[in-house]
Amino acid sequence: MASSQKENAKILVLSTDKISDPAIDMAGLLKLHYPPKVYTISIPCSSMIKSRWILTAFEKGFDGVFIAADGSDCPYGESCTEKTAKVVQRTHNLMKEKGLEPARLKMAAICSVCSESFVKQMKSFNEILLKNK
Amino acid sequence: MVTAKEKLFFDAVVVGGGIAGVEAAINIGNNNLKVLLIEKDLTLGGKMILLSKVFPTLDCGACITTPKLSEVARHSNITILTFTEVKDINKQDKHYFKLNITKKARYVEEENCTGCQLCEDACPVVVPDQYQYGLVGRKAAYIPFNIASPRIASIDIDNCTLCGACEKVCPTKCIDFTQTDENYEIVAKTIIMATGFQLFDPVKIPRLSFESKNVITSMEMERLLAPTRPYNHVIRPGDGKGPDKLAYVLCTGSRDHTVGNPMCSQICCMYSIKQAQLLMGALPMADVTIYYIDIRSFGKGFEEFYEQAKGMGVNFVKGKIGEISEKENGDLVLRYEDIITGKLKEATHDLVVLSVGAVANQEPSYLFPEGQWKKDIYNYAYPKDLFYTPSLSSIEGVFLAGTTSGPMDIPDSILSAGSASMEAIRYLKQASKEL
Repeated sequence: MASSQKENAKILVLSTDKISDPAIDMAGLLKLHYPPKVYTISIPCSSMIKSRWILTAFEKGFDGVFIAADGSDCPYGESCTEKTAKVVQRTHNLMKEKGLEPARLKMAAICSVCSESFVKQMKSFNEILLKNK
Repeated sequence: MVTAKEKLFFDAVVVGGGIAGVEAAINIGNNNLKVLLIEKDLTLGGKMILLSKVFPTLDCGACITTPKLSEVARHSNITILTFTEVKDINKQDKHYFKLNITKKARYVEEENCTGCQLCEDACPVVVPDQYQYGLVGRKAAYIPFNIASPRIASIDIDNCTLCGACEKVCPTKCIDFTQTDENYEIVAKTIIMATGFQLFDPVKIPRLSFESKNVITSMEMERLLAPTRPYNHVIRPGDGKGPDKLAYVLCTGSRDHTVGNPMCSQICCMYSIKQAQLLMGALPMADVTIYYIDIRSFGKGFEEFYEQAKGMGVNFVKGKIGEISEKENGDLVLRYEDIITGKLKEATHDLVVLSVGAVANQEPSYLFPEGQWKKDIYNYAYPKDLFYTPSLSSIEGVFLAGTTSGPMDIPDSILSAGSASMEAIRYLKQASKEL
């Protein structure tokens, strides 16, 4: 029953549609196991993420938000990582103000075939979130 | 997306959507010139997107290609036509070319397909998947592969049974069996030919027993190792056994007068060494032997890469393979001449990879009026003046990118595309002054 099942954190993944999404999709196709409560929303570029979206996700009950970014390969511009990092920094500050643990928001570059790296990220993020719960 | 059937005008047309074509299109598009990128396949990316890693850096091939494809797809100056064939190219006057192209029917409305793959699930027809080199099957309604660009479905009408299952499940109702091929007339100021190369077909050398299931080409091995691999393991296709003793046969179809290709393909030594290194990682207990005539590790970091492979335990044998024969259990006996000792020897392996060479893609020569497209004796495009620049073709206003003019590795291909696009931009600037 529910009590015998391992508890899992509810994670929202914001992934980029051309680069990170195929990797996440492929993680499923390759039947790799990652925590079951991972939900994905695809967006064109990680630099477009607004702090209020992330805060809304926490309000709606997500334990963690993971930004699967393009890294330096973003087709929308070289400053993508920098801009996304600023979004993350700003959100971290807002989270601190609201009394939320900044570790609940994480960002990493996931390339189009980085399925295994995505799974690793999800597993470790899940562990961290469960510890902090 | 092209929808109108009128005459379409572009500054440049890039023929071929592999890495060289994509690079050339981006370069020209970035200079505020209108580019049409034509690809005959369902997806851009050419051969590079199917590779596991690239040598000698061992960077992931797909991870480098996908952002480039994404960039070209969203570029405001670049129009992409996939599944489109160029029928002919004629020079109209000094500054204009006229191209007749055929956009083949996908039987899917491109603009409405979301790539949800429900049609793929519903389709009852299974045929060999050409993007996985026949290692696994695909449906008749299919998306080429996960990282295809554009990631939209297509109906393989030759194998389709017209059962209508895909049509029923499609949430956007974008499957349209009434589609027909569309012909367009394009007017362009310059053409970049990035038509790439073809891999040698080892069926032409019967003594290598390519009909045996456990004799595969290097491209099939590339698929077995790639992140988008079909089985998620390296197994031999004959019986699914994990191979313990693998052999690489270098110079299959290159440096070989008997098959009409005496040229060195430039890439086989290095990609075989790369695959051997990847195999040492994927199958730590396996023995990998590379049978070579010469190891040509001529590029930056190549020799170190070769030494690294030797250090990892890859066995290099200087020997020419005479014959491969299959045993009852699917293992293969390689009869070879050991060049160092001069003796004939035999060795048994359970999976043999033929490192197939590159041969010229002859299609460009059929596109231009007879006699205009100059080729060398190996059928590669012959540059007008090799010492001035290798990018000018024999036709003024037509430029050569990538392996159209000879075998080369990926960095050289990209460099060549840069050179071709620069020459094309210079030509366009000059032409606009004259007009």
